[in-house]
Amino acid sequence: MRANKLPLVVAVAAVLLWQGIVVAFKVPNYLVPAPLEIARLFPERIADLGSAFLITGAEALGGFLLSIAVGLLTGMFFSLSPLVRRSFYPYLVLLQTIPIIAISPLILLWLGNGSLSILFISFLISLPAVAANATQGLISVDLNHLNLFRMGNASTLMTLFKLRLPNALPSLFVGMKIAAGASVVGALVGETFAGSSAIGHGGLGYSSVYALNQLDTPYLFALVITSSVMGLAFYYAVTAVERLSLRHWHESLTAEQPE
Amino acid sequence: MVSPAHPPFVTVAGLEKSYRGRPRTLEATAFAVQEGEFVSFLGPSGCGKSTLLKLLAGLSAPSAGSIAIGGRTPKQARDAISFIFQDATLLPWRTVEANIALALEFEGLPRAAQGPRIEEVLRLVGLGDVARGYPRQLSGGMKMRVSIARALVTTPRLLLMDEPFGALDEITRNYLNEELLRLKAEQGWTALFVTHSVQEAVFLSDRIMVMRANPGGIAREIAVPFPFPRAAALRRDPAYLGLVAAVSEALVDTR
Repeated sequence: MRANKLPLVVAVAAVLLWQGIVVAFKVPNYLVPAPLEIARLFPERIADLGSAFLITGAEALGGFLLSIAVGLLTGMFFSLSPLVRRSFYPYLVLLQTIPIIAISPLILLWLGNGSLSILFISFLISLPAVAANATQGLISVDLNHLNLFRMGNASTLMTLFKLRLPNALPSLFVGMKIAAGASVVGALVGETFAGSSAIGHGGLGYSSVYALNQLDTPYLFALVITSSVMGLAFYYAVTAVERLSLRHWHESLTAEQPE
Repeated sequence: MVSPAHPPFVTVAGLEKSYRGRPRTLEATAFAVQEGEFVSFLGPSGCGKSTLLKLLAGLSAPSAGSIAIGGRTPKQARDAISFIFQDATLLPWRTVEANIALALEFEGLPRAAQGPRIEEVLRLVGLGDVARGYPRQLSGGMKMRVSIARALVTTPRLLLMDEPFGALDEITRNYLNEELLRLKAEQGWTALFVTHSVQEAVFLSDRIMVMRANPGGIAREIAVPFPFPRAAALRRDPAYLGLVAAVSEALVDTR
């Protein structure tokens, strides 16, 4: 048996054990539902799960993309000079340490209930990872590469686009992978505050609060699984783009060895 | 080849460089180089030879003294200078030909006009078949040839080289030394070459500046009388071996 199949075996065994314990000890389903019962929900309530997935997905994607755009711009700003970096970098760290949940009510107050606030919370949670990693990549340029550009009388802008930005890509992708997961968490958290049933049945976070109030534990489990799928989808989407952009040159992705 | 009546191409006078809180890196340095000459700067680490090259490139400003390259300051003369670094300094995300194109992009040459120039220089250094490859696929010696091609594609009048073959094995280094002389014979640029290899300095140069450390500066100047073109066979010539021994001795004397 190949080693990479072992995790799958563990998963199947765990689910079987779970099913066995729930059935054998007659655990009530509002406490822990059996795996088969949860599985049945997917075909039954696919429309509800699908619309919740799309709502949360759109919010998280919006927050994620916004965090990349703003994070990259922040990094470029920081890469301008060490003076700029020293003056403003502490505030990026500060943003990272503020528990976003604590300021969520303020965001609701300013942006109102609904998707815009949720998108913004998702953005705020994702931003520090992108901004910090983009900055790191943009400033970690080889001194000889910089001298090469200086010898060519290259402008600041040319050095940014032809040296700093490509050089920052591997590090930027590290930040984007963290942000991919964080943006989904941000959207889910945001919905528990600002979720609304006005559109469809609300997103996954809102549905979780609703299902909890109804003590609909099997559906709660289905929502957890759907949320995890979304997080994985975001992560693997970033990984795929990373492979496409770095496959030719970065050590982490080049399988071939030089002669 | 070099007529004394001709004004020198590179003139360095009273050049000094010190960094705050450290003994002077380079002290009272003066020399002149004629157009088309190959001059090596040879010495132990800490003798200020890399600092000297940075000053000549205008990458760092002298504490005192002056440098004139064709009557201009190093910064003004940059369009006529190419610098070859200790490592190949290629951009890993660009193909070989795109790395060479970078030097032409610095000059603002339109893309359409770049192609023929790149092809020509690739043929010159014998890299035509790896043009579309990426640096990571190349050996150290081939990367350095790409770096040389990038330096030559702009048809410079002055080539500044900072221990370009220091990281290569001896066989590759010898081969690239011969290649460099062949390219120079074809293109006629002036070369200022920093190295810590005595053999390399004797094989390549018209003149060798033997440097001392603490404070750094030129201790002795040694002329290399062997005529060009020089072939690999020169390395077995007793006169060559004798000069290598004499230069090594001069190097020991500077300590």
